[in-house]
Amino acid sequence: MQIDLKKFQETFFEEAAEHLSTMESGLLHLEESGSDNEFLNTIFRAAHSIKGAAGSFDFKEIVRLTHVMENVLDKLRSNLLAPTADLTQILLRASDRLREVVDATHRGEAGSVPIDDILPELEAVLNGGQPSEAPVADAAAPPGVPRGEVVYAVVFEPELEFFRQGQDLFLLLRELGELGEILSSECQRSRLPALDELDPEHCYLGWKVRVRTARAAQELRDVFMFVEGACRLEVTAEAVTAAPEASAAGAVRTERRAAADRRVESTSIRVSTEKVDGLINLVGELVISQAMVNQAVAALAMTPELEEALMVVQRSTRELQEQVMAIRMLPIGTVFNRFPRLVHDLTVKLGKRARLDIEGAETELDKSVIEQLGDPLTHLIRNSIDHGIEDPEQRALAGKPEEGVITLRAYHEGGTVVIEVADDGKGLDRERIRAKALAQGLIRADQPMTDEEVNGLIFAAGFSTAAVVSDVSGRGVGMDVVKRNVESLNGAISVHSTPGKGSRIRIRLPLTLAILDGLSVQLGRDTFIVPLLSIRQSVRPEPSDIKTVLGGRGEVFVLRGEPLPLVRLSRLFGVAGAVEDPQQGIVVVTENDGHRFGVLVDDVLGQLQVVVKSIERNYRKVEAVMGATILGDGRVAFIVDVAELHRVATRRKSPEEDGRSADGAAAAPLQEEVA
Amino acid sequence: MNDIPVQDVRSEDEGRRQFLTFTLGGEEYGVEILRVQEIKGFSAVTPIPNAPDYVKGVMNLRGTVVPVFDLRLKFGMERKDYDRFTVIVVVNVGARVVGLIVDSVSDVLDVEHDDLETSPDLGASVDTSILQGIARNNDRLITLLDIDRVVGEPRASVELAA
Amino acid sequence: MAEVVREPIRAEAAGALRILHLEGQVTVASARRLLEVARRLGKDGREVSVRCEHLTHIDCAGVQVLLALHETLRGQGARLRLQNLPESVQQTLRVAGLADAW
Repeated sequence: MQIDLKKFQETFFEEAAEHLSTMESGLLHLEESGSDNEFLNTIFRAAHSIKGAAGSFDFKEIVRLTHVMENVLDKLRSNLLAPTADLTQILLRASDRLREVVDATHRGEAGSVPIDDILPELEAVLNGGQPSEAPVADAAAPPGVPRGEVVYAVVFEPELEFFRQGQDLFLLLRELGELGEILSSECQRSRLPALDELDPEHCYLGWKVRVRTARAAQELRDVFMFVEGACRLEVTAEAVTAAPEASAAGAVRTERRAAADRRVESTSIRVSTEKVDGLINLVGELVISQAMVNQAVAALAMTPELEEALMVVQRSTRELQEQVMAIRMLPIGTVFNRFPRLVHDLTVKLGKRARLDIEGAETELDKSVIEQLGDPLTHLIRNSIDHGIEDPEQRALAGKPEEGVITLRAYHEGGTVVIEVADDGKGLDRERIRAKALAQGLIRADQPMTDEEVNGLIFAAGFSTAAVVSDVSGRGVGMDVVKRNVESLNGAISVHSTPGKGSRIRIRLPLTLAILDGLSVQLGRDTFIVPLLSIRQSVRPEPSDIKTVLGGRGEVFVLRGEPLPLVRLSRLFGVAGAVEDPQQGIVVVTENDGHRFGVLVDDVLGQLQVVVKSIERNYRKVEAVMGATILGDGRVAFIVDVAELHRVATRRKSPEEDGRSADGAAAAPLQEEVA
Repeated sequence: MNDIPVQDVRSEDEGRRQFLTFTLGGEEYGVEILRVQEIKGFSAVTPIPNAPDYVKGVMNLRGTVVPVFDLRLKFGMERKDYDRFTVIVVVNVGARVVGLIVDSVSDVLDVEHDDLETSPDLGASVDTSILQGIARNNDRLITLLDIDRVVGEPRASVELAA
Repeated sequence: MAEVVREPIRAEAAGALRILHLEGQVTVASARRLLEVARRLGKDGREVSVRCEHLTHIDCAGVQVLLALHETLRGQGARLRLQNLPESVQQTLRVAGLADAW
C-alpha cells in the first residue's frame, strides 16, 4: 500500500498544537517554578518533539525556530541561564510565533510567517548568558535527550446509558490512538445481549487498550474528560520502555514518574458522579427518616438507653452525610489555575502591567458549583484588567506601583464559600455610572442613592451592554449575566469600591447545590421552603405595618420605618385557602442583591436542611421555584427561588399599574414566560 | 437479484403488541405496556404553582419528583373525584417519568396488527395525532394512545392545554 | 414508476444469500432501524453479506447490532461478513479491536 504522507502530516499538526499548549502553560509557570528540572524537561520535550517531527517532513522554519528555543531551554535546564521575566516574555513570543508558523505550514503557506526577527532575540539570550561558546548541534541530528515511553493499560467501560452523552466512543478510542501507538485493543463483549433483548440505545461493550506513549497518564485520561461521569476508566502503567537513545538518568526519571502514577492509581478510584449522587440522595432520605423516627419516638416514654441510642444514630447520620458530601468536593484551584494566562495575555494586549495573586486555591467546593464558576470569573477578571487597572503611566502619576495587582481569593465563611476578585485600580466611577443609568432610564434624576446602591447599578440588566465596547470586555455579556450565573448557583454577588484605590467583587456561594438550609413555611395546605441564606428576619405584622399604595394596587410592609415591597406568595403561586389578612400571617423579610422585600406566608414551621431535587428532570422549570424536596412525611415541597421571586414580583406589578392594557403578557400565566 | 421489500423478511409474530388498557369516563384506552413503569393507587400530590389544570401536581416516587397529569382533564373530559379505583399509571416518556391519573385499569390486551385501524377518522374536531390507532376486540373498541404525543415535550403540552 | 428515496439501511434477498446495505452514517440515531432489520435477518438464519462500500461511518451503537446479529447467525450455522469496507471504517474497527471479529 502506498504511504499517504498527507495523513501523517495531519497527525503532526495535531500533535504540534498539543505540544505548543504544553509549552505555553509551562512557560507561564517558569518564573515561579525557577529551574525545577522536571518542569523544564516538560517544556523542553515539547519543543524537541515538534522539532523532531518537523525534521522528518522537512518543515525547515519550524526546525530552525524550535532548534534555537530548545537551546535556550537547555541552558535554563543546566542553570546557565536564569528564568527572568524578560526571558519568559521572549520564549512566550517565540512560542506564539511558532504557532503561527505551524498554522501557516498547515495551510500550505510555509515561509509566509517571518522568523528572522525572533531568532536574533533568542540567540542574543544564548550568547549573553553563556560566555563559553558551546557547539550548536546540527538541527536534524537527534539530540541525546531522554525519551522514555510507557505502556499503559487503559480500561474503558462505558455505562449502559453512555450514548446519552452524545459522544461517539469510537472517536474517543481513535483519539487515544493518536496519543501513542496502540499495541492491542481488546473489545469486551460479554455484556452484549442476544439480538432480541438488545436495546439499540444502550451501550454494552467495553475495552482494554494497551498504548505505548511518552505522554503522562493524565493526558490519556483527558481523552475521556467529557464522558468521565458515564464510564469506568482505569489507566495503569504496565511497563516502562526506554527509547534506545535515552540516557540512564532519563530512564530512571521516567520510571520514577511512572511509579508515581501507579501510586496515585492505587490510592484513589474513579467513580461516576451518578453513583455519588445516588449515594447523596440515599443519605438524604436517611436523614429524613431519622428525623421521622425522632419525632415518632418523642411521644413515647423514653428510657435512657433509647435516648442514648437515638443520639448516636443522629450523630452518625450527620457525619455520614458530611462524609458523603465531601466526595463531591474539589479544590477551587482547578478553576483558578486557568487565569494566570488570561491575565498575562490581556495585560500584554492592553499595554498594562498586572499580576494575579491567588489565595485559598485549596478551598473546597462542590464539583457542580466549580464547573459553573469559570465563565463569571473570567468575565470579572477581564473587567478588572480592562476597566480597573490603569496604564503604567497613570499608575505612576497616582503614586502606585506600575504593576497592578489582581487578587483572586477564596475562603470559608460560616457554611458558605466567599470568592473575591479584587484589583488595586482606579475603582468605579460613580458619577459616570449614575449618568449612564439615568440616560438608560434605569433611575430617576431626583432619586437619592447611597454609594453602594450606585455601585449595584453595574449589575442592572442591560447596563453594561450600552457601555463603551472595548476589544476585551463588554461584548454584550454584562455584569447582569455574571449576577444571574451566581444566582443560579444560589449565591449572592456584591461590589465594593473606593475611588483611586480599587474595586472588590464578592461572591458568596453555598458549599453545595445538593443540600440547602431552609425555612419551611405554610401556605394554605401546602408547605414551601425558603432558603435561609436570603432571609433576614420574620415578623408578625401589626395593622399599621401594612400600607397600600397606588390606590390599593401595591402593598408595602413598613419595617422599623422603612417601607418594603410586600409579596403575597399565595397570590403569586395561586395557592387556594391561604391567609388573606396579613395580621393572621407572618412576613418573612428576604434580601436579594441589597434589595429587601417582605414575603407574606401563613405561618413559619421551622428551620431544616433539605436535599434539593430537580423538577425539570421529569417536568419543566417552574417560575420562582428553584427545586423541590421531600419532606419528613414523604410529601414533595417546592423551594422558593428568592431572586427570581423578586424579579417576577416587580415585573408583574408594573403592567398592572397600566391597567393591564399595555400588553397581553400581563395576563398570561407565569410559566409561559419562562425560557 | 431481485429487490424485495424488507417487510417480506418479517416473521409472523412481529405484528403483535401488548397494551395496558384503562377507562376514562366510560371509554377504554390503551398504552403500550413497554412504556408502563408501574401502577400506583392514587395518593395526595403537591400542586405545582401556576400549572395548567390537568397538571395535578408532583408526587414522590422513591425520592424522585414525578409530575402527575389527570388524563380526563387533559382530554377535556368532565372532572371526576378521585376514589379507591383511581390509579396513577407511571409511564416512561423518553428519559422522563410521568404519572397519569385514570379512572381504573382494566387489563392487558394483545393487539394483532390486523386488529388495528391505523387512521381512524373521528372528524375534524378530534386531534388524532395523539392516537396510535383503534383496536377492535370482540365488541370492545380501545383507543390506543401514542404516549409520547399525549405527554409530549413540556412546552408542547402547554400549547395543547390552551 | 415514481422514484423512491432509498433507505440507507435495507436488506434484500439473492437466493439463499441475504444482503444488508449500509450507507452513509450508521449511528445511534439509526440503530433502532438497523436492529429492526437485523432481527428479521436473524430469524431468517441465512448467510448475510453486509455491503459497506457507501458506509462513511459506523458508531458503537451500530457495531453492537451487527455483532449481535453475527452471534445469532453463528448459532444457526450461518455468518455475517463485512464487505468492501472503506479504509476509515476499517481503521475505526481496528482501534476498537473489532477488525477480526467477523
